[in-house]
Amino acid sequence: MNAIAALLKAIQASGLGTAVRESDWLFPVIETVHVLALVTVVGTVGRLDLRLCGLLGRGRSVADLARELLPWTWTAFGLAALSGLLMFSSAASKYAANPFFEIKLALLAMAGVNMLAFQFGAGRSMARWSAAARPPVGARVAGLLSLALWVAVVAAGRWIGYTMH
Amino acid sequence: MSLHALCVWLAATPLGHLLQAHQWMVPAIQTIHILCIAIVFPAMALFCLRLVLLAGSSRHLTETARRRLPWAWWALLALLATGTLLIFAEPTRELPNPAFQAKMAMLAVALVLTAWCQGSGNRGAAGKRFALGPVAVRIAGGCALVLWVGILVAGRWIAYMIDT
Repeated sequence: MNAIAALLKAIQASGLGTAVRESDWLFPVIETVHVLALVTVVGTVGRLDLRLCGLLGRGRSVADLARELLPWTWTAFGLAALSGLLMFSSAASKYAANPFFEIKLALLAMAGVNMLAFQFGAGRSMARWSAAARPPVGARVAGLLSLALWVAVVAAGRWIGYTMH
Repeated sequence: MSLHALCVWLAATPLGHLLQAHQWMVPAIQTIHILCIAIVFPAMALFCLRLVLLAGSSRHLTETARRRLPWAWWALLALLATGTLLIFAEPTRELPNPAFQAKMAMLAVALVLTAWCQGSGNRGAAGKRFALGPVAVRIAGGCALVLWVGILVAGRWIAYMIDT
């Protein structure tokens, strides 16, 4: 426990953490990049989720849609993670103690597990059902879960901003 | 009526009172606002990129527009609705705010440009597979893309430019 507390202190005392904290404009700029990236992640993932649920864009195969959208998703996710890490570094101890930050991390982890479960479950036979208007139940459940988790991630993230003072 | 008087009046309306009475309302509405942005922004950005750079060029421009934009226009209505609620909740945070004013100005231009580009696609001027639109449409698409990013940036900066 003390090791973690010490690590958090070291992060916010680092040159990077100090720079983000003390600059007048750095934090808002990073936060803007974070918003730009997160709406791209949620927008493209949500679009794919709705297709997986069989609710939207059934004229296109899941594989086709994934090929088009996922490069944007991953690029934006990288940016969101990086900008998130930078904001975290500015007040690591405070963020780590914030319940909404903790909830958000847990939700992100769940979204990751859900994605992996899909990859190793219904996703393995995607070639067979990719063009189907109604994907198999495993894929529909994964899509619905992903959608719910990402909506919750956005909500938790928004609430961090109201509970950091 | 001055801007200040308008703010005072808006905040004193029953809707304004309701929104100020519960602390969770503003972040809840902001969350919905951001989720709608997640629908509008990627759709508009990918459409504009298709116009300018041929991103997703295996499809007709008209098809790109038909697939992406109807959802974006509906979500945009939800954005206007949630945005209006946020103004009622905190009028002095928004209306006199230079970031808010810049956001609205950019929004007006971006809407006109995007709708015009969509219209030109619908008219078949740029409907060919693998084809770029006319130069004017490409330029308009590029400007619209910059504006959509600018709207998002200005929206985030409202919080940092509150007139105290």
